Formats: sequence, structure tokens, C-alpha cells
Amino acid sequence: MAPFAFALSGLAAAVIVLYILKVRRRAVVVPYLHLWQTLAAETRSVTLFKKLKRLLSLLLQLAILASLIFAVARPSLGGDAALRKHFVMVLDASASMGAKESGGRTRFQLLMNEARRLVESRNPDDDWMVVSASDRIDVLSSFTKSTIRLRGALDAAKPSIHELNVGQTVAFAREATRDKKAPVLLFLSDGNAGQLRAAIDKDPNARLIPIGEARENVGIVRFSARKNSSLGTDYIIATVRNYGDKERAFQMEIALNNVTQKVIPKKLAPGAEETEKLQLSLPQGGTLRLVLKFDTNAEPADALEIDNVAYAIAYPERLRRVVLVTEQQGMETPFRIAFESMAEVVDETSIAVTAEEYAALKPEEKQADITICHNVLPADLPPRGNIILIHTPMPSFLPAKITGEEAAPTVLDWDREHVLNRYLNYREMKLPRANLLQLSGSAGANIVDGGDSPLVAAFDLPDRRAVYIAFDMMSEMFPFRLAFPMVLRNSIAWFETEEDVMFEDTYKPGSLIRPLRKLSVGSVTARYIKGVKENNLTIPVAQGQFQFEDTEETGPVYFRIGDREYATAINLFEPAESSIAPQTADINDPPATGGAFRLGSGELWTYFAMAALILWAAEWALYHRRVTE
Amino acid sequence: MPATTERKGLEFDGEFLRKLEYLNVVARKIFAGSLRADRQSPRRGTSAEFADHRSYSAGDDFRHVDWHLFGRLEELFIKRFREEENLHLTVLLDSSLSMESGQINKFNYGMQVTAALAYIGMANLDSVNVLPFGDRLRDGIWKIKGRGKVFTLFNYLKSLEPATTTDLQKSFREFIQRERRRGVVIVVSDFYDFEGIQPALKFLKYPKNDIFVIHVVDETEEKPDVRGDLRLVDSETGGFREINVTDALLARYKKAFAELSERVETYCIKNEMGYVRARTTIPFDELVLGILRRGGLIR
Repeated sequence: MAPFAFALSGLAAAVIVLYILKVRRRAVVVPYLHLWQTLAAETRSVTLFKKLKRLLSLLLQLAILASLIFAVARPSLGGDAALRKHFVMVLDASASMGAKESGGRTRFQLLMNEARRLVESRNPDDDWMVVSASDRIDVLSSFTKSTIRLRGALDAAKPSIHELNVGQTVAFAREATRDKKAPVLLFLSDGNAGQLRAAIDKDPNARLIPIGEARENVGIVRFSARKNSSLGTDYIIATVRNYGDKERAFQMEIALNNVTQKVIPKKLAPGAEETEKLQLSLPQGGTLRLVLKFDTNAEPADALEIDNVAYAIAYPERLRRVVLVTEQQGMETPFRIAFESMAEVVDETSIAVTAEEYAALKPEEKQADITICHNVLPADLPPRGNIILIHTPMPSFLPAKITGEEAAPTVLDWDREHVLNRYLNYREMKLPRANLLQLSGSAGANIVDGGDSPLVAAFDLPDRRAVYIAFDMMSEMFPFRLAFPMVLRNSIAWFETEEDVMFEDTYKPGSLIRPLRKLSVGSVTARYIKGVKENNLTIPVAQGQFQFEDTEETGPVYFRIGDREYATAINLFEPAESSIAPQTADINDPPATGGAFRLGSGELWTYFAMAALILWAAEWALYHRRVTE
Repeated sequence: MPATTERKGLEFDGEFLRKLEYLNVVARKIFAGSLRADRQSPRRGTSAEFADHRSYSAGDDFRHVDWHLFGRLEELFIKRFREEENLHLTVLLDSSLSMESGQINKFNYGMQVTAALAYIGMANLDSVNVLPFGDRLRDGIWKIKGRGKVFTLFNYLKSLEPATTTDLQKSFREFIQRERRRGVVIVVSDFYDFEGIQPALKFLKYPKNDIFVIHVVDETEEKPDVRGDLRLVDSETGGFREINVTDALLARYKKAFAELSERVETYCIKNEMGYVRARTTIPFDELVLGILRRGGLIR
């Protein structure tokens, strides 16, 4: 209750003065007062009640004044503490709020309408904070009673394509009102697939005001591309889910650099999720885009558009220079045959030389992406570059040593998950004579176990990777000769596993993109689509790191790092946002989670105002009907 | 009920005179043969016209003994003769302050009626008195005769201003004391002395005057249209009373006013007095004409 209002009680004196002026009688000259006197005396009331009635008008006016004072004072049943509340109004600005509702308006527009209604109908004594929530919290207005500021805060609210961080949002709202009396947390949201309702359940101060009604949505859950170096293909995975209540028919259209590669008709039952796995040969690489296309006349329409498009990056094939060192001339033939079949990965500058010839090469001629040594180990191998050693002496830079020789080695087991063993089967394989190895340290891994020693070992050194094959796979073992291209591809795949992985495949909208490895360049250039035009941004690299922040739109982002270009994509891929079915308002719910919400609960000022109006009407009627005489 | 109206100066102009002359002509036609100055007096007098006999009593003038009758009957009888007298008209005009009120100023109205009747009297009768009264009889014009004196009458009336309260008894008593001759007495008043009306009229009746009462009533007094908490101020005494005039009280007032007026009228009729309720909305000449045509003014 506002104490200042009672200062207005001084108006009672004014009311009395006005009353006296009001009841001061008008003088009328009559020719014969005696007759009036006689008549008035006959009807003159002398009872106490009737005398009091003469004061009724004044009493009514004082009652009107009292009612108005109480109305201004804004008393409440719960007292001042209950009256002055601290509201945190959380506006869900996440991606699902972009769902189209009936009438063409977005869910976020409905949310803003409701927010404005709440602000305009609030108790002006309450303090309100307005917060926009997605994967981050934006405080649009700190606690204030100012309607103008709150309106400005609402005007500043904007939708996003971010996911809603429910835990962070609820925690923030609670923290903001931790020291406040009578806190009320208002969440204007579609409920984020029920997560919000669950988060504020049993919180007596929190109320969920459900927004929106649309339910039908099919969204892309996953879309990615992997270069299969072993096969020289691109492995594409696309997963879609029907989040709605009705069966939906649509087409999945996959395009590379805006050229359609594949169109897959699809029909999904309610709640169903299906994954399409494709092998495409995309040696040139580029931006892959998956679009879900619905019949525009089909009902119901797909409410959320942002999850109907997804992007992935297909890296182009890269040619590697291979230097083959053999024990003697003529032994390189099977290798040459293999290289010719791998023209998409083996550069034409690749060479096959003997050890003597290799020793005569200039240092730059020895530089290679991959150096393969067969039965011989040159003394001056380059310090960088990956190496495949086939039945050679053990070089000093590998943490292993040769302890002997096994005449008839047998494969006991092999690491089927290792990239080097992809598509290879060693079962019941008869192997030629092999060196016995003893690995030291953790850099070497036994990936084909011969029992007493590894038959194939993989070494992951700080500056290079090496594969040591303990037997001569190019001897008369026809299967191995045949399998060499696969071994080489697997080796390339393993060598370059981390080399090409500079970023995650996909990032959520609004998130920061940072490189996964430290960089040695001074700056990078980001190239991405913003709006309808391509945008280029140079980003400085500090301590080997940079971060890219402009991730407010879905799509590919290319980074030029040194002489290589890396890429990643921004996609929603958030089931909680794609699951747009809103939480329905249930009036039977406890007040914590919904139901009819009244801002003015407990307030009495409207009743006092109405009482004043009724008293005024009664006073007018009584006075002008001369009841007060 | 409106407050006391401002009385505009009464102008006895040519139009007014034309109306009076018309009334006079009408009066002559109506009263032809009877409105003579030789109107027979009911009193026995000394005229040549025999009236009747009466027994002789000691002290009677022997000249009036009918000796012929004594010769036949041997009893003394005195011959009585019809006395001829002039007709005197007196207009008693209420000039109390209550006459100043009314939607149409009652005093003006009363003066117009008075002027008309007096004019007719002056033109046709022997003499006319125009006497205002309030709480007592005021100095008026006595025994004015002939149409030539009409402007004297008008000037006098124009000089009159209402004043004082109303005391009918005292005023009429003073009139009776000063006017011994019998005649026609016309009272023009609002009679806002209801208690004193009947005794006062008795005074007038006592010398066997022919009395005609013109009760001047204004519509706003008969049916007042005021409501609310009012301070009612008496126009004559200045006394006041705070009264809430409700619809019910108004209804009772109208009823009481009508009853009082009817009581006056009834009294007049019972006592062979002429009575007319002169509502100020009726033009004065119509009122006078009506009075003349009804023949109620002179009996």
C-alpha cells in the first residue's frame, strides 16, 4: 500500500467545504411564507434517523474520497510484500519460435504480443526484468518499474536460430531473483519439447506461459560427409525425423555446389526417424546441401523451415607425392601398377628409385608426402613426411627394434577398427618370412598381431606417422600384391586423419568456431554467406588460435589457413528445437507451470475504484432526489 | 417560484386609453338605465317619491305625518320617501410588497385593473376613490369625478410603490371609518393575509357596501416550480425559512393554495360579494370586460 496516498486524506476538508457550499440554500423570495411554513411544519421530520439523512450526502462524499484514496494507495490482501513483486519475464528467442502459426505469424510474434500484453497490464508497482533466452541470456531490461523502458526492451527483442539452453535460462532467472521478495519467473515459451516445464516443475515462483499451437514439423537431424580415402568416395549420411502427429511425404534433395546429386522421396510416420547413407564420388569436393522439399499444397504445412536445410563439406581429393625406394631395379613394377590405379591420389611427380639412386637425389627431390621403403632403408630419409616401411631394417627414429626373424608367421588377430586394416582380412593368411619386432613406448601400436611380435605396427610420432610391415608383402604373395593399393589408401587415410580435421563437421547457430589444432599462421580468412552475399573476414590468430563468431545463419563457412582451405557448416540439428509441439496450457496444472495467470491477483484498488463510482452514483441520485433533506 | 419581479414603470399610454374607452363604451351598453347617478338608495330619504309608512314615534317630524291616513284610520303614520343618492366607487388596491411578485408583476396588473374600473366609474358614476393599502390604508385619491381627471388618476397610480406588509383588517377598518357613504367597493389584492380576509371583508360589508373582490393570482404562485434545498424569504417581512421543496411538498402547497382561494371565493359568494380570480395571464381589459358582462360589479 502506498502511504503517500493517505496524504490525500487532507482532501476531506475540501470535500466538507465544497459540501457546505453545495448545500448552501438558494434564496427564493415568496410572497407568502406563512403558507410554506405551515406545510413544512406538517412534514418536518424530527427523528434521529431523518436528521442523519441530512448528512447522508456529506457522508457519501467522504466515503467516495476514502474509496479513491484507497484505490490510489493500491492496497492488497497480501500486504505490500505480496503486492510489489519482482518479475523476470523470459522470452524464448530460440529457433523453434520461428515456427509459422496459423495466420502466417511466427510463434515469436505471438510471444511478443503476449509479452506486451503482460507489460501493459502489469501492476506498475512491480519490478520487471526482461530477458531474451536462447543458447545465451540477453538482459533486455534490468529490474524496472518504467513502462517505457520495458516497452523499449521488448522492441529490442529479436528471434534467433539458436537452441534454448533450458538449464542456463532457468538458473539465470532464479539467480536474478535470488535476493528479491516475491519473485515471479515468467517463461514465455513453447516449452522446448517439455524440457522447460520439467525444469521449473515444483517451482512455486515459476510460471510457463505456453506460446503457439503448430505441431507439424519434419527436420534434419544429421547431415555429414566423410571422405573415404580407402575407396576414394564420399560417404554421406542424412537423418530426418518427423516430429509431428501426422504422416508426412517429402523429398530429400542433395546438391553439391547447387548441382543436384540425388533426390530421395521419403514418407515418414509420426515420430519416425530414418537415415539415408550414400556413397557418392565427389573428388572435386564442395558444399553439400540437403533440402527437404514438401508439396506446397499439402496440409498440414511444415511449420519450421530452418531445419529443412542442412549443409556439409565434401573435401576435394588431394594428390600426394610418393617416393618409392626399392632394393633393386625391377622390384618397383607392382608398385607402379598400383600407383597408376590410384591416379586420383598419387601425384604424377611420384618416383620409384633404388637406394643408390635415392642417395643421389637432391634433398628437395626426396621431399614426399609418403616415402615407401621396400626391403631397404636409405640412410638419409627426410625428417618430415609419412613413411611406409616394408620388411626393412628398423630406423632409429621409430621406438622399436628387430629382435629376430620368424620363418612362418601366423596372424593371430588384427585391430579391425584401425583405419590401416579397413577392408583387409588377415584370416588364414599365409605370410612370408617376417621380422620379429619389439615395440617400446606408447607411440607404436600392434595392429596385426603375430603372437610373438607385431606383423604390422603403426607409429604415431609427434611430427610424422609411420607404418611398419614386418613381412615382404610384395614377394610372391599375390593377395598382398593385389591388396597393396588398399593398404596405401588406408595408410593415406590414417596419415591424414587429423591433418584434414581442422574443425568439427558442424556447429550450432550462434556458437563459436575455433580450430581444433594450433595454427602457425598469423591470420586466417573466413568466407561465408551472410544474407544473400558472400562475406570475407580476416581473423587474426593469437597463440595459434582464433575464433569465428558470425554464426547467426546456417550454411558453410570456409577458412583459408595458409595455403589450404578448410571448411565446416552451421546447422541447427537440435531435436528440442525441431520438436515444436508446444506445451498446452492446462488450467488444472498447479500455478507453477501454467494455468490462467493474473498479474493483478491480490490487488484491491479496482474494487475501491468501483466502490467510489457506485457511491458517487448513489450520492448523485440521493442528493438530486432530495433524500438528504 | 421566481423571486420578486422587477416592476417596470407602468405606462398609461394611448393604447391603454383606447382600451379604457372601449371598456367604458361596453359598460355603458351593459348598464344602460341602471348606471345612473340617480341610482335609488335603499335608504329612505327626502325625495318626492313615496316609499312607505311607519308608525309615528315621539320626536318624528310632524311634517312627515300622513294626515290623510290619520283621517281614515285615526292613527299617526309617518310618510317615508325614497332617498336618491349618488353611486360611489372605491377601489382598494393592495400595495403591499407581496404584490411586487409574480411572473407578471401583480401590482402592475392590479394598477391596470384599478385604472380601468376607476375610469369607468369616473365616466359614469358620481365619484371614485382609489385607495391603496398595505398594513394600513394609505393616502389615496378621494372623490375624483369625470373623465377629465383621468390623468390625475394615472399620475397618482404611477407614483405608487408597493411597501409594507398586508393587514386587511386594519386597512379596511380605516376605510370604513373614513368613508361613511355606502357604495361599491372593489378590492384588488392577492390576499396574502388569509387569516384576516374574512374579518376584513366583514368590515367592508358592514355599511352595506356592494363589495367586489378581485383576487389577483400569478401562475407561479399558484403552481410554483421550484425544488431543492431553498431558503424561502418572505417578500413582505424579509423573514426566511430553509425548506427542502420536494415534489410532495409542492403538491401539498398547490392543494393548500387552491383550498385557500376557494375558501375566499366561497365566503364572498355566501356573503353576496362579487368574486373573480384574476390570473395575471389574463389581459386586464379582458378581465374587466368579463366582470362587466357578468354584471357582478353592480347589484
